[in-house]
Amino acid sequence: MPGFLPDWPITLPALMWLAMALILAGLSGELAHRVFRLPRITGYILTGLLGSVLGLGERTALSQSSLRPVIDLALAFLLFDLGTRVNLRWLRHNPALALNSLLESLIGATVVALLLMALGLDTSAALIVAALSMATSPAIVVRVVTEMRATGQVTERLQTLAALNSLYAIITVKLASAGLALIEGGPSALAWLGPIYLLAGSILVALLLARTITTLNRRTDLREDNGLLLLLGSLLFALALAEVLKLSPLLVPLLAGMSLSLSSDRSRAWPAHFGLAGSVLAALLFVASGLSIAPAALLTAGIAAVVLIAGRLLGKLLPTLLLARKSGLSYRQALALGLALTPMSGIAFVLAADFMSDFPESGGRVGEIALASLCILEIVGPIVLQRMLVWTGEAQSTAERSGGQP
Amino acid sequence: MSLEAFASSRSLSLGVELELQIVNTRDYDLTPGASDLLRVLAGKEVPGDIKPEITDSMVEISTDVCTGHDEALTQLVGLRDALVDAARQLNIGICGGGTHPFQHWPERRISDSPRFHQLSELYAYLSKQFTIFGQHVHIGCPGADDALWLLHALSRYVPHFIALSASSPFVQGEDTGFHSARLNSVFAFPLSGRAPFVLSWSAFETYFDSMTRTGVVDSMKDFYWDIRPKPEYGTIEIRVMDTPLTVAKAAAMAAYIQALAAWLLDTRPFAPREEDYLVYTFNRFQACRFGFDGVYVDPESMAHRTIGDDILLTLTRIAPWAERLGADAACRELLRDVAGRGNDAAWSRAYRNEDALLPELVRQHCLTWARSTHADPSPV
Repeated sequence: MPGFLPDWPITLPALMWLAMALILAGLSGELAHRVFRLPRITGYILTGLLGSVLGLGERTALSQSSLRPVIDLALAFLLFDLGTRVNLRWLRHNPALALNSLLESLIGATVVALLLMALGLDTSAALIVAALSMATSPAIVVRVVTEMRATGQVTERLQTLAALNSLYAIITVKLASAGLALIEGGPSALAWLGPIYLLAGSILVALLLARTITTLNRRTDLREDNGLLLLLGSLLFALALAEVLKLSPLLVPLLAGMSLSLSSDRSRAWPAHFGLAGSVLAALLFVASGLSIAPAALLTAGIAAVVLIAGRLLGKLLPTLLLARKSGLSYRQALALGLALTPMSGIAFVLAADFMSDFPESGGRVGEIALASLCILEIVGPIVLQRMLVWTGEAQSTAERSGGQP
Repeated sequence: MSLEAFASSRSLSLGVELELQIVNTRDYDLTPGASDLLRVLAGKEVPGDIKPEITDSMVEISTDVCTGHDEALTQLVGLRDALVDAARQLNIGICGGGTHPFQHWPERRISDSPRFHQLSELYAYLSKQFTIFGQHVHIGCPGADDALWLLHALSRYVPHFIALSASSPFVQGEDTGFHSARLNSVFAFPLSGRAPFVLSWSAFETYFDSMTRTGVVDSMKDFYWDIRPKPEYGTIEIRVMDTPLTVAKAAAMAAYIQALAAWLLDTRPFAPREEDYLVYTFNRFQACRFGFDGVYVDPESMAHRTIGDDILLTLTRIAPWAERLGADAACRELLRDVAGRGNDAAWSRAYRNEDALLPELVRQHCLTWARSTHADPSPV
């Protein structure tokens, strides 16, 4: 065969798979939005799920490993974004909200741990799954809120609670892992230094990142197109640094965002092109998370997953409803907020993966339950969230937005 | 519905209503929060009243019937402090200003009440695009005919009220060049502008009845006039002011109007005529566009001077009445505005020259609203 013709059989280059994923995601996102009035990200996730069912995840360039840098950047961008949306001073002015944050994580995790142990899971695995389940997906929260341009009490509190419970989940899982290592690996004082190093190091890099962005913002105009390069570059640099130093790629951007919003009262309006870059990155993130859904896990851990979801929901709803009036919410808003905390994803998956590599034996079961729960919540979570924002009037439904005349 | 009888009220008593903006504390765009604020404030002792308005991003505070400036200011400060406290618990900001500098109108949501939904349906985009914030001042009148006389006499001073209170230079992210761009939005409503020139209540009733027969209106609420009688309170209501950036300025506006009304009713220095209205819209436009530097055409002598000069002239004339009513200190503060300090619109514009970000300007408005002091009505 002449050399100028393509090789036979044709092997599709990575670029082709990526292109197809983007086009399919774009189309299904639009389909979800227009026809089914669902969040666009549900379309992206389902695109990924389709790939997963067809087994494309392992065979093609769409595998976790080759998309990894993009996914990490996307997640970091969203975590950073969420961090800047949190006003920690609010917790001082509204202690009931601070209490709500602590209790929804604590009660949710306790209920989940107890239920899983009742189902026969061993204590250490149950505790780890419970800790994982505290986190509400920052990615889903930020994207659905941004897409729907939601604004109001439920939206604000959802963002604050999601940022905080993600923080609790990351820290708790790391501490619990260290505890486990201590128990399993015999007396090793060094195991305790692990989480301390991770926390202190991550905080330090986060502060450095926040400082860099503040300085850049003062010296240059981040609202110019050029600003996006500087911001994404700094974020990537911090992520790379976190990897080199074995720090948390989740904590660094989240804490950097929070520190940025805490360090200055100034208004924080991201320019439109940040949102554009963010939404392209996020679309890839959701396709990838759809690809990582393993419906087979439902067979082995379906029941545990349903129990986990029910217990988690109960634990998040209860304190939110009890503290409603005290923190200044109506019961309707509190119910919506409790339910809107449902989405769980990205972080839990990353944490589960970390844990599985640290503890292959007990990690297997943890991974299965986390995957099975994600199967359900990746699909259900964004839709519940969207419905709650419409129900409380903080976002308009698609019908109203597109000018549905009576 | 026929027009209700004109209630009796204490002559020269006053009441102040302020429509306020509710913004988020991140990018300082408008955010729905009125029902949250009202829920948090339910059961708390506050002077006056706090009410929802047509969009959920707006809340209205109003004083009880007050005798004068000091009482009105004390009540406004009480209302302001209660509101600021509740807002802090909800992580939202409250501020004055006649327009939100950069709000995007399709985002606005209409309050959940039948009257507001009906208005929104009637006025379509006007009700959302023109999310505007005004100050209304009620002045108690001894009788219905006096009320109409005072209404038309005060019409000559409408440009003063506009220039002194103007606080809406920015609309939808643009510098409009106006001091009060808010009033341009009011003009778009079909029943806005001046009241018909009638000086007796029976003639006014005849006018109202013929208007109701046309099917265009069914209550006084449907008239968006600059000054309108409010028969149920026994007052006339001056509605041309932008909501100022501080409660002190709002109280000073009320004090100025009260002193002016006292002087007019006492001395009856001129007889209002239909011809006064020949220059009315010209003068009003000048005040909206140029503030104190606008041209004021005296409807009697046809002399041209600046609106600022006409205010200074008037302040001198009414000084004894201002002193008698305890409005003199407030009037002196307004004088300082005219004499160089500038109105709130000028302050916002100057701030924007230092810092181009409009969300930052709104943040400053919130800070100013929350911490402005009793005495000084200008932004800090």
